[in-house]
Amino acid sequence: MSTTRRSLLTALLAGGLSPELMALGLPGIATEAPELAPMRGLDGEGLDAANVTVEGRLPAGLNGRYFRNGPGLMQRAGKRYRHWFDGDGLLQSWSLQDGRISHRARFVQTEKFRAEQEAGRFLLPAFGTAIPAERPVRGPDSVNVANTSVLLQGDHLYALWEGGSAYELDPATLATRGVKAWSDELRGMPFSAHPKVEPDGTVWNFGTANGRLAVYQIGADGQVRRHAVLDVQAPAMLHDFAVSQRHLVFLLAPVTMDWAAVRAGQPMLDAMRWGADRPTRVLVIDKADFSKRRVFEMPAAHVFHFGNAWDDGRLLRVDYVQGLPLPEFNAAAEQMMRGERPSRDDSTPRVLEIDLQTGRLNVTVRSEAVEFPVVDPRVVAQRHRFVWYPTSVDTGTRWGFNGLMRLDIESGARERFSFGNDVVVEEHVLVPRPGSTKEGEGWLVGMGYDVKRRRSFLSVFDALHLAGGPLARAWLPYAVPYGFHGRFYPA
Amino acid sequence: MKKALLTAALFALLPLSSHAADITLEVEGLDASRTTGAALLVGIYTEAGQWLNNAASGQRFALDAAVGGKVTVVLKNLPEGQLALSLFQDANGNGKLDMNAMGMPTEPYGFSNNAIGQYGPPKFEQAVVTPAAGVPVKVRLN
Repeated sequence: MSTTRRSLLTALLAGGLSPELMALGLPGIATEAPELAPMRGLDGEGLDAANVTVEGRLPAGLNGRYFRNGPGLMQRAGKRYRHWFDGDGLLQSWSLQDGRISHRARFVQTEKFRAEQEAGRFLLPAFGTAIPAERPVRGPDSVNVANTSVLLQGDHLYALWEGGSAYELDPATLATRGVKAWSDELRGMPFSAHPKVEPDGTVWNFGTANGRLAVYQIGADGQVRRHAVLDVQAPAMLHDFAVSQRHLVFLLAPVTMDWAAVRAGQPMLDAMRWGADRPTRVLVIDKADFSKRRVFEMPAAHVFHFGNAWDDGRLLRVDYVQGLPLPEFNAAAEQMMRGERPSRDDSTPRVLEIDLQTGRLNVTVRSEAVEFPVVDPRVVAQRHRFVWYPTSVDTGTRWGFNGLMRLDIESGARERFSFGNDVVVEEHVLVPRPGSTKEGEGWLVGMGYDVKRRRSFLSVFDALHLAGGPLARAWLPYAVPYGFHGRFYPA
Repeated sequence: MKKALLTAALFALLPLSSHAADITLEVEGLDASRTTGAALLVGIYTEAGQWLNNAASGQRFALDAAVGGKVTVVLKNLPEGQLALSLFQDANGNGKLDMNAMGMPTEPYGFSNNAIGQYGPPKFEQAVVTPAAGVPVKVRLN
């Protein structure tokens, strides 16, 4: 992007939103819900900030790369996506080295993105938006937007979606290399955006299609160790899972696909049916033998994200965030895309204990509004105590989180920090302090958006002392569309 | 003399054109990154009852020289009248359309008439064409 063009874009994003938004038919965003302004999205160009201004003191030892992914393009030629999840993947890279910070963002050059960028309009159906296909749809990868999360293995950076393949990028330049095939027989397979990485580098992941569940075990070297396709009547939507020492744990919500509606031209999202009176099945798979599976039942619950799981052979403990039933969540996501504050949008922490001998389930319910749970990468699939989340503290009718929370799931104690109502807080990840060994010793690093300054920032907290406020914030000269998930890789 | 030669030549060509025994097949949409050692496999069907089950004949064309995801081949000695084609890019040259573990095709495929099925292959009737002499059949793989 040329400097002039970038300056113009920056100016528009930073200072002059209203006229442009009016022109785009989104009059509500800038005036009534300024926190939703980043939902406008970008126009398909990347972003670069070579020297980012740092406020406060960056901790010595916090060196590395922080990659994030999220929906970055929301409209073309006057047509706007209807659902937040439809947006085309914008990959961000923050580089932190000896107190110097730079930022870069590039759209993942998916097959869909390249074709539509060239045409200047949408050509393919999206997950939640009915767009007549003007290009052949061979499978999920024909409509893959690679917009949800990231994974780095060696020199291979992956932009992850849910329904199709990972897209591989160059971690240094964020240039797209192409669709990743883990092996010939896994070409085009669904590969979820929530792989779990154990401390030894072992990657576990899954994918679903037509009621079947694929599970993958991949070595730190990127080689597939094992995979299987299991007939478990998987729901039409399955976003995340948890891994303990011995088990893979899935919550299979009562979401079915109305194929007649899909054939009649409805987007996938509208064709999903929520079975409020049917159970959510808890599927527990033996990591050592995928054929050893147990299913428990609990009342219908819709869950996007898990923190972690651990087991001692008898007791299996899983923490997660319970969201709204799917239809209500989708209604909220569509309101956001229209620039309206969702009428209802709450999700709250849960800890599920399963007694594997008696089959008894116990759920601890909490009431804080949270999402995007993270744990210390050193405790994945191990016993853990802490979970960190963005949270809402007295936000009133405003959309979005404005603070962070650390929950001690053993004692129930919590620690919180609030930026106040001019800030929207996004996912923050835990970065262990080099040389430390105890869970939680390190920093909580993530992004946010300042509604008044109309700029996005990176914030760094002492993960065990959130209440003290951010140690440092790095201010971008522009706003970045809200993202979903990221990972930090120490230098 | 010239005229006699021309007439002879035309007569010589007649059996070919009147029986539509050879047709030119223009294919696009090949995965250009997987053409080395690859082949285009074409199944020719003449009856609905045999569709995608028992081909009247099959022909194979090496794709090593394909450029830009396109290739033009000549199907020889075809039966007269209407027929339907099923074709795919045998990217790894193993002679079959490979599927992934979820049963999704992992090699580009297509049908005559660019027929598209609804959550499955198209019907024979959707793919039927009646080749005319000198007019190529065009198929886009996807």
